[in-house]
Amino acid sequence: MKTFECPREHDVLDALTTGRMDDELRQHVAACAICADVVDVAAPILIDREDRSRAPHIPSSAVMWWRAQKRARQDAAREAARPITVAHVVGVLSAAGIAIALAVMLSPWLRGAMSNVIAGASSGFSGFSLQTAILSHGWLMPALMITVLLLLTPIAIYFAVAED
Amino acid sequence: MTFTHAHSLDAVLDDVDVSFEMDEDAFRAFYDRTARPLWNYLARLTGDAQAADDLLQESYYRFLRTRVAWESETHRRAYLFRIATNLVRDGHRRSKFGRTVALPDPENDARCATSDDLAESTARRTDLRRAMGRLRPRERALLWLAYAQGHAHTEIAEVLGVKTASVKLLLFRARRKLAGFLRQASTSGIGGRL
Repeated sequence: MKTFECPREHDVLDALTTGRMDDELRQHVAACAICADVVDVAAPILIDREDRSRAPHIPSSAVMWWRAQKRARQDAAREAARPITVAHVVGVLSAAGIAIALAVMLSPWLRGAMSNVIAGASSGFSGFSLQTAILSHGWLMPALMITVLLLLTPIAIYFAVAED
Repeated sequence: MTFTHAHSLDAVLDDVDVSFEMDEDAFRAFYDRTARPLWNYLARLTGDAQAADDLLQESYYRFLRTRVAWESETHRRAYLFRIATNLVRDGHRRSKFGRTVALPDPENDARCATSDDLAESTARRTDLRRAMGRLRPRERALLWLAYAQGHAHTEIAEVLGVKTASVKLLLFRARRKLAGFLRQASTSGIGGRL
């Protein structure tokens, strides 16, 4: 069975950290492939860590706390405003849907024009005339409008509240 | 956004009550203990000091927002590092960070010009950066956590989201790979200097 670690690995790491490696351990490293890898890899990493420890990049804990508080407040405010946005979108879409449905029902000219458009669209269907169905059932047009509204509302809400 | 909206948003922000699981004193003590190792870890993983700054802030923010009952200081630290690791992983998936790890180090560059010994040591550091850059992010993370941070296998497993039993093998492979790259770099460096 192949071994992935050497029992003396920790001794080697300790020696690298303290900078003291006795002859016996040195001989072991020369003979052990795993420990040789540990030395080759860990020694430059430890030096690199020491270099980085001197780099003055880190903001203070007070600054970090203040930034986190500020951002949490912004996020909370955004969360709180989300239902208002949703209500706005639903309101606007409902008003638009009702206005269109009323216009279609009340205006004979508009109703005729819509029927022509629908007749053109449904001309491909054989044995079924959407135009006839709409003309014979007065409730069908508002029902179609409400269906379209119900389909579009979730999509509109998604785009309204989605971040980025 | 209108002026009125901006004012009402400010008013809302002043009124919003934000509370974290951790109080300020506890956070500041924890931050002072972990910020530098975490920044080093992020810098080594991303190879980009600016990205490390941003990710450091994001990591602590997400850490503060979590509602987790910490079993110990080690668990808390591992959790923070796990958040950071996931952020790097996500950024890497979106190709936010390049594969070459060459952090600028002007201090070393300046010293390099004044002494041959320091030039040699700078060359070694550059070799390490380049070799680390050829590793996968998880391999970099493994090696850094194991050798720079001195984390135990259980903690490494927790940070990287792998089984503790797998750490031994993964670490062995990553170490082999990096050692190979370093030897390669050192051989070509000597060749180049001769």
